[in-house]
This record gives sequence, C-alpha cells and structure tokens, in this order.
Amino acid sequence: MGRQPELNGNEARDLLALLVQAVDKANQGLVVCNKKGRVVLRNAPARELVNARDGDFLAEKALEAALGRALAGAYHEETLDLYSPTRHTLKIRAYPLGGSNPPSGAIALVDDVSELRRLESVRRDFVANLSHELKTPLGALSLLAETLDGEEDPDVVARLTARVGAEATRFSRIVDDLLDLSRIEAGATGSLSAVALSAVIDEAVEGFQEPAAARGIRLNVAPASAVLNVMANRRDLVSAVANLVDNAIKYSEPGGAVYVDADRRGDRACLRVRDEGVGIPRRDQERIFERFYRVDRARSRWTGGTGLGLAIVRHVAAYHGGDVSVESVEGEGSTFTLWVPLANQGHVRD
Amino acid sequence: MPLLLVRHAHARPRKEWSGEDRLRPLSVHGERQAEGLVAIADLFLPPTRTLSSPYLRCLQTMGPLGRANNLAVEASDDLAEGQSSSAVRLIRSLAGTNAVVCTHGDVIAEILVTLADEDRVDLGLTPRQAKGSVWALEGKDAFFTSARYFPPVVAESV
Repeated sequence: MGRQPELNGNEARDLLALLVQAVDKANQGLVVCNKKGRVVLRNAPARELVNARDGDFLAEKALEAALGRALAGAYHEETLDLYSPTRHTLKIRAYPLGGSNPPSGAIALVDDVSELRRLESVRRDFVANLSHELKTPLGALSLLAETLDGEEDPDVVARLTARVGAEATRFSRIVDDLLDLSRIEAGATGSLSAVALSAVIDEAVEGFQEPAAARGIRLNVAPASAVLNVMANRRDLVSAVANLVDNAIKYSEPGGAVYVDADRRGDRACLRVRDEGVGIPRRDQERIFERFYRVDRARSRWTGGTGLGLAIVRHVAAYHGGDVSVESVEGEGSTFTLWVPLANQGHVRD
Repeated sequence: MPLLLVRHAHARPRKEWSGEDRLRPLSVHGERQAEGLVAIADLFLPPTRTLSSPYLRCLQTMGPLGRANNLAVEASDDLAEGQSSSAVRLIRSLAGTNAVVCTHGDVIAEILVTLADEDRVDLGLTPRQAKGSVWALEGKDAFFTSARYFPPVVAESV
C-alpha cells in the first residue's frame, strides 16, 4: 500500500460520501466522535440500534460514556442489557483514534448480541438440564443398589429389581431420544422421498391401540378422504406422529378419546392429533417444544416421558419444511397440528 | 431448617429371625448407629417431631433421638416398607420443619428420586443411603431445594 495521493476538495468530498455510504452497509453500529467528543459520524446500523427506538436513552448514555473513555486514551468495552422497548443486549466497544496522547477522536462499535446471548443461554440451560436428567436415573440406580445390598426378602428384592429395570429403561430412553434429536438437528437424516401419509399414520399408531385400550381411551384414526403423498423421511415422520399420539394418550383421562386425521391445505398436508385430556396452560404452550421443558413434572414422572418428544417433533417438522403447532384449553384437551409439504402431484383423488 | 430423612439402622438378619418381619429388631451394631443418630441430629436445631415407620427396626433407630429430645416417636403407616406416593406426600407436608423421619431403603429411594425429578433437587452422581445414614432436606411449602447426605455414625458403646 502506497501513500494516499493528495486529494483536491471535490475528490475528498466524493471519497467521504463513499465512505459514509460504505459504513452504512456494515452490520455493525459505528459511531465516530472528534477530539471534543462531538459525534461526527453515525452509520445506519448505529442509528437503528441506538437512536431509532424509544427508551434507548440508556444506550445513548452508555455510548457517550464509552466514547468519553476512549477519548481519555483507553479501550473500553461494555455489555448493556436493555429492557425497553424490547429486551435486548448491546455490546459496545470504543477505541481511541489517531494516537492515544491525546487521541484525535474515538470510534465506538455497537453490536446487537441479543440472539447470541439467547443461544448461549439456551445451550447452558440444555447442558444443565441434560446433566440433571441423566443424573436422576443414575442416582436412582445408586440408591436402589444400596437398598438391594443384603436384602433377603424375595418380595422386596423383586420389587426393587423391577425399579432398577425401570430406571435403566428411563436412562436408555433419554439417551435414545438425545441421539435421535442430535441426528435430526445435525441434518444427518438422508433424503426425503414421496411417502403416503396414511401409511405413516398407520405405522405410528400401530403400537398404541393396545395401551390406549388398556387405559380406557379410544384411539380413532379417520380414514383418509384422499391420498396424500408427502415429501418425508418415513422413519422420522413416523416417530414424530408416534410422539404426538403417545402424548395424547398419556395426557388423556380414562374414558377419553384421541383422534388422528389428515387432510390437504394448499400445498401442504395437515395432520391433527386431538385429545380430550388435561390440556396445556396458555403460559406453557409456547415452551412445550423446548428440550426438557415439562408442564407437570409429577405427571411426566409417572408417564415416563423423556422431555424430548416434542422437541423431536418440532425438529422433524422443521427439516421437512413443515411446522407443528398446538391449540389447547385446560380441562378440555389439546390439538397438535403437524404441517408437511406435499410431494409433487401428491394429491391424487381416490 | 432441614428435615432429616433417616434410613433405619442395621437390623438383625432375616434368616436369624423367626418372628414377623415388622418386629425384627436392630442388631447390636444397629443400636450403636441409633445412638450415633443423636450425634448427627445434634448438628441441627433440636427436632420438633420424630416420625417413623411402624416397623420395630425404624422405631428403635429413633428411640435414642426421641429420648434425648423428650419426644414421643410417632409411628406412621405412610412410612412403612413398600410405600411410595403416601410417603412422598407426608415428607412434602413436613418441608421446612425440623422433623426427623425414619423409614426403609426402598421408601427413601422413592422419596429422593421423586424430589430429584419433580423439585430438581441435586442428589449428586452416586447418592448413597447406608443403614443409619441421614439425608438433610432443605425446603419449604411442600417443595424441596437441596439435599445433603450424612453417613452413619457409630457410637462407641451403648
């Protein structure tokens, strides 16, 4: 790089205009002040992040303070949690410009790190949850082993042995679901092909007729009114539907019914699993698809859920280019709707 | 105040006992562990209630502690061997009190695992429950927040 050639007034103005436009294109907020602390440049993202919204008085103050510190000759960095108008987190970094003694100005870079923060927090929560979820059955095994040690009553031994088996099963189901989830999240799912949705439903409900009947719950699968072919990984889609049916049965009361039906909506198939069970409180409806989120821990303990079923359903729906949603009224029941794109010319009248 | 959950002390082996299992008493070693329980409970404020499974080995485990604190040991069928949900309910009703509760290994496993599941109490990686040991359970309003294990103490002599 050679020295910048001398510019005349017009050239300098053009270059400045270009530079201003260029910094407007940056993702990062950028604010420059002169040696007196007066802001001389504020790019578009900085105006968006700090200026544009109501309630960003705090952000503006922090930015001024950061520039002030930089003008005093020191690098300054701070993270700012803001709660108005929406909750967000800004990271501000300010540097002196043009030598530090004294600086001829300062620059502050502003990043919206809200999403990064949210992901970090999701990951931290997941690791903490996972560790707890794995420790619990392991702890149970440890406690049961000590109870079995020296136990001579065959009835007690039989009862404890059954509990050991149940905890080992719980552990292995969590690990199975985790592996499924991680395979699906990593996108290691193979290619999608045209699959008849009715066959997916039949396969998914196959194992549930008997346990539903045993609990006095009717499992009704509506006959398909039309052939619906969806683009799917058959195994994963079966697993997602089975998860929804399993939940519907678990959260139904004896005497209740579970209904499964599917039809076409535009270029997607819409599969519904409806129950007349306990329902989901409104405040929990947003969160039930999160890994290890549970509405009722006591109930989940008895139904033997891993806390991962709906997370698997959500991920399966997502990589199929579909979606899953829930409507529920406490005490009346829940309807889960799974949307999956139809295969080309998938809609064939019977 | 923690609630103390006690596993009954070492009892005489079933094969050396011809009577009813409910009436099977502590061994000599178990009697010394029952004395040792007084020392563990001394780490905390004096108990206000002492409850026990109606099985003799549990009642005997609580004997020295009851006498030391001038408390009658209340027998409760909810703490008998093989109980689970009724024992958990009883324990929840005592959250935040300094009651001392003695029961059987299977019941303790059930209680602790329920608290780990439902209240997210951390039991550690390899929780133990030796005979004569104590779990100190901190909580209030039917909900527990932490659990700490105290291994059995064997008194020098009875």
